[in-house]
Amino acid sequence: MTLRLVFRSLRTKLVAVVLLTTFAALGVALAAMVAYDLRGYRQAWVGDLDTQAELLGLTSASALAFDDPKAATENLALLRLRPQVRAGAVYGRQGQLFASYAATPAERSFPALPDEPGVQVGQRQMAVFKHIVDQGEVVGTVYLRADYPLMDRVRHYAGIALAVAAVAMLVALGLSFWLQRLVTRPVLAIAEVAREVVERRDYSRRAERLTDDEVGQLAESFNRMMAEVERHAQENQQSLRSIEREVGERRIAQQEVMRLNEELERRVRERTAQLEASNRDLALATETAEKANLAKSDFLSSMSHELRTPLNAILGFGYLLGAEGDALPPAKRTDFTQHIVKAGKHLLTLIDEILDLARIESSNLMLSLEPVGLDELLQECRGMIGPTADQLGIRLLLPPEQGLQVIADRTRLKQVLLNLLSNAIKYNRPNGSVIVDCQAVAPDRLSVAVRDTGRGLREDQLAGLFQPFNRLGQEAGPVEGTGIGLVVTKRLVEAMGGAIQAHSRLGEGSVFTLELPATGAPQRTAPSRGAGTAAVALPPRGPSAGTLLYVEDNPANLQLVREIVELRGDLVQLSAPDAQLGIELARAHRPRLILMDIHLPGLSGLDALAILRADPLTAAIPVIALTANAMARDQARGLAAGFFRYVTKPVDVAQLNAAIDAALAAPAPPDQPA
Amino acid sequence: MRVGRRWLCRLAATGVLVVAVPAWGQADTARAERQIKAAFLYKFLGFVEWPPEAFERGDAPLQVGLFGADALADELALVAQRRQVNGRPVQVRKLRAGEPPTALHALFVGRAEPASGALMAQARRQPLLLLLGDSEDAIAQGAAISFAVVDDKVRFDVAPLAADQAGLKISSRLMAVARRVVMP
Repeated sequence: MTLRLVFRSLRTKLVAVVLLTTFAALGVALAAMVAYDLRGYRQAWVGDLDTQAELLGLTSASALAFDDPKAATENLALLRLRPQVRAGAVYGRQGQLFASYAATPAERSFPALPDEPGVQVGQRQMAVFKHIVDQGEVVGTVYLRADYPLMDRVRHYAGIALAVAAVAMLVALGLSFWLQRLVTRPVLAIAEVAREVVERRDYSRRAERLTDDEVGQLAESFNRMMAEVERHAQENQQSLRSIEREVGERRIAQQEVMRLNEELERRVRERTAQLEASNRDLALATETAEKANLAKSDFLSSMSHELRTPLNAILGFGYLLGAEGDALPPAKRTDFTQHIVKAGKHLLTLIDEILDLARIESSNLMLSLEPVGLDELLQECRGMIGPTADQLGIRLLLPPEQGLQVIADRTRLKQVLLNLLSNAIKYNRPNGSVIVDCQAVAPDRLSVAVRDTGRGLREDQLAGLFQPFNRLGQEAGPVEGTGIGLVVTKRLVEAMGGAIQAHSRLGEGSVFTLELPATGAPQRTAPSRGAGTAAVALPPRGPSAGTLLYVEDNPANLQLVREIVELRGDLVQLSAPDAQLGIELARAHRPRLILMDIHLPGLSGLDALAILRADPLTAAIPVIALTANAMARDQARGLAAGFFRYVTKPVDVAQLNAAIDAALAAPAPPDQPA
Repeated sequence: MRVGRRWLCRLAATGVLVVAVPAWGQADTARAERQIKAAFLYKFLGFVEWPPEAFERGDAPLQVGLFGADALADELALVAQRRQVNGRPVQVRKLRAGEPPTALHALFVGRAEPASGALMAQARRQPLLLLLGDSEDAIAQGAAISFAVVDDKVRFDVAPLAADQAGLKISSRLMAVARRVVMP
């Protein structure tokens, strides 16, 4: 494992291989050399010793032959020139020691008898026995003993081998380091490149071709492979990118689709909402249109009525004046003429206001908006309306001068204020007050409140306040009015970017509050209406064909009809200013016939008819409608409701008389008193 | 007695007489000396080189003549029996007085005989003949090798020049063990 770790690198492996190879080669070579050398050494030694022995034998042969130990000893003594030979001896034919030699006295030891010829190799010494042959005869034996330092030599050689090996290994190490660079550097370069490629996924890397050998080929192959891989990688990346792009496009497309869907849904919702809204609007518009239509009809009806009413007085009194002429007492004539003139004036006012309203409704009203000083305007109004107030004993209290200014059309604002102030004066109580108060309600908003001390208005009266021709039960009252002034006022105020509100408490009075865009100051007017007077007219007459009850809120008309009926002379006359009283009178007196105005304050003529019809006491009494509602629709409705006749204003006296005659001609109800 | 034993020892040392004297009886000093001399004589033949022309054939026997030493001749014959010197058998011949030393390769002249001097003189000029003497004077008389008994020990002197004059060569190994090498 250690080894595997140590040899994990190619470099170390190569070094190890080189070292191992070197070591092995060196070891084998050294071993072979040493073995060879030792063998040669031994052979040389053996040969040497053998030769020595041979020579000794040769030289000693004559000594032996002539029994001359001295000569033999002298021969042996020559061995001192060979220090390696430690001892030598010559044995005679019989094996007896003939001559001997020893390098040192300590070594003077010889075998008692010679051995067979041959070499005896010991650990440290070598011995040779050799026969001495002369003339083919063995004449003796030579013995030689020599040092044989084999182990020393082996040790010596081992040392040399060790040193050589060490040096060789060092050289080999150096060489291998050099060589391994030669071999491994290109390989390692490739390996490094390969590692980097894997780590960084950079397929553009190329291995440098450092050599022309197999490693170089490897580098080239590697580069070719890398090129291939890079190409594939690029292709993959491209396809991946295109897929990503496709996915992205699809996602975008999907998002787009979803967005479009959402938008579509939103649009559908919007359209649905719009459709609903437009449906609602349509419904509303339809409703409004219907309402407008209805209102228009009502308005027309009302206008017709309102216009006919003064005309009725004019024509009626005119007719009377013409018919009766001189027969009338001068006082009455004057009275009639005054009635005619008054009705004419009223008519004129009505027509003016209707034209104003028409102009406003058709947006033809020309307004020139400008800052208007309220103080000055109020003073002007006081100048115009003051005498009337004084006449009626009404105190007109204007606010102290504050220098306030509103943005408005001066003329129209004056008209509005005059209307409100005149209302407040007209419908006040005797010796009452009209208080005008101006104040800023917002930085650019002023309010002008006109407060009166009249009788105040009921809730239902407040609701009908700004309806054309609604005089809130004042029709029969002493106060002249067209019933259109507040409508015009409201429209004018709205046209100038303002608003008008009415608050009232019964018995305390009413407050009309204007709000106008301001640069300066507010203003006010306050109308208040006292409830109209109600009265029962009971005109008796001479010969009676029965009683006639006339329910009419307009005094002029009442007087006119009273005069007409009086001229007939056959009817007792009762009159009531409103339906409620009319019904009560009808129940009490059970008249022969009833003339009923339809446009009555509070209970309308139609409602009163229904009540009369429902009451057995009055159910049979013929009721003739006498009304300014001259439209065919109204007429048909009236007849359908059960009116005996439908006579329209201005009254045609003949027609009225014909209707009365027809009613009188009808069978009287059973309980009709005479 | 003492001497006799030493001689025996010597004989044993030479190894020459082992076979020749298998049965060793009552030792006789003269005989022992004779036996040693016979062995020496035989050995001398091995240390001397005769030119090839000295022999008729390659295996022609080496003719050794002895004058005035018959007993020694017998001994020598005994020694040389069934032996060869340098591949040649050795023939021992006893020379009578007046007999010329012809057809001999070696001639031993004993000192006891009167004619010895004359024979020596006759033989000294003879080529290819190794002249051997028995006394120290023999060298002076022209012998190439001559016995000399020193301290009861048989030794010998060598005169290489004499041999040279006879056309023979004496081995240096022989000279190495000689008592004296006589150079004129």
